[in-house]
This record gives sequence, structure tokens and C-alpha cells, in this order.
Amino acid sequence: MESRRTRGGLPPVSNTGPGLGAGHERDPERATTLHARIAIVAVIVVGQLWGLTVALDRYFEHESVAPLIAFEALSFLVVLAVWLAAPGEH
Amino acid sequence: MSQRPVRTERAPVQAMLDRIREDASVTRRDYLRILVTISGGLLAGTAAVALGLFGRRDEATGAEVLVAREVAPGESVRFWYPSEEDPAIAIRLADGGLVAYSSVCTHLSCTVLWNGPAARIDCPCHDGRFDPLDGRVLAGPPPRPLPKIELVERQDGIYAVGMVVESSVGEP
Repeated sequence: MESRRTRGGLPPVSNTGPGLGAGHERDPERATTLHARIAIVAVIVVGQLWGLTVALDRYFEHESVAPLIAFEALSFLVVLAVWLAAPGEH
Repeated sequence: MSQRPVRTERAPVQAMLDRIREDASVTRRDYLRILVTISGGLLAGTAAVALGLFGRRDEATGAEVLVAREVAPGESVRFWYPSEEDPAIAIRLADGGLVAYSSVCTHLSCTVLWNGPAARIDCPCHDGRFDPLDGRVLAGPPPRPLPKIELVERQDGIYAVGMVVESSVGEP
């Protein structure tokens, strides 16, 4: 039987294009969890952007910005919690 | 024929996985980190707004400025108040009343103009229209009234003496 020569422990490159395993999730459950967390955080950040525009408008109209500060702080805490609870590196 | 030296002692499968992972320059964890940073930035920005780090045009103070010796009814005159970088407009209304506003549109900071025939203040950029009596928005996208400037008429002319702060908080 003919043995394949290896280069640095890797199989020789015989084709161009993505390598072995490319395009496949190695841990689908972890990937889904991360995707869901990214989606949740992105929605919260969009809400924070809206909050900042409302805060600016209220500030220039000499109205209280305190409720918007509370909203932004709460949003940040939720984002922080989602991030810290996300699956770690492999 | 001599064989090439082995560069790594890692298992072939692990080396392949490492190589695939290195192809992704930004991981999903990185995306989460970036979003958390943006979220914190938005919180900091809102806090900066609440702390008053951004100046409000109607709170600016300046020395008295001579606007004009006289303004004819239905006419307007440009001047700069409270600083030389803040354009403003003074208008003598048809009934003789004298009003002045910052001429920086509250929408996107274009310079508003007095429309004499229509007796209103117009922003030519996006068709914003303001009431010359009190500066409130009549039409268009501006979100707030024009900041009002207090004028005093003296023997030797018309002077701008301060900004009129109008808060909707605590109004009856």
C-alpha cells in the first residue's frame, strides 16, 4: 500500500478551495447559542441607539434625561450578562 | 530522496482544526465583545448628555451685541449672537414687534431665512417652517423651536442681550 507523504503533519494540498471541515459547524449547539446571544444583544444595542436620540431630544428641550439613563444602564447590564453567560472559547 | 523535517508535533487533526479556526479573523465571541463595547459607549454617551457636556444654544451667554440701528417693518437683519460663530436673525414684524432667533435650523443646522411675503421663517434645506412670533415649528422636519434671543431697543439701536431659555418642564 502506498503511503501519502505529509508536510508538517498535514496532508498534502491537492485541491484549491476551502479546507477539510470548512463550512460545517463542529459544535452546532454552541454556535446556535452564540447566534441567539448576538441577535439579542444587537436588538438591545439598536434600542440603546434609539434611547440616545430620545435623550438628546429631551436634553435640548430642557426635559429630564434620567429615565433614559436608567434605560441605557439597564440595557447595558443585560448585554453584559448575556455576554458573560455566553459559551467561552474552545 | 530525503524527507522534509516535521515542523510540528501536534496531532494532524488538531493542526487542521487550528488552521480552519485561524481562517476566521473575527469570531462570534468577538462580535459579542464588539456589541458589548458599543453598548457601553451608548451608555457613556447618554450619561454625557445627562451631565450637560454638550452645550445648549439657548443657554449660551454673551456680551451685548448691537444688532442694527433700526429694522423696518417686514424686514430682517442678520447678526451673530452669542458668539461670532452663531448666526442669528432679527425680524421686525408687520405689527411693529421685534423678535430674534438663532438662525441655525434645529433639524440639520442649515441657516434659516426670513420669508417676508409669507411672514414666516423658512429653512431652505428641507422645507422646515417656523412661526416668527415664537419660533415654534409650523411644518417640516425640525424637531424643536428656534432658540429665541432677547432684544432690547435703545436710543442708539437694537441690542441682543441674552438667550431666552424656554423649558417645557413645570409649565402650567
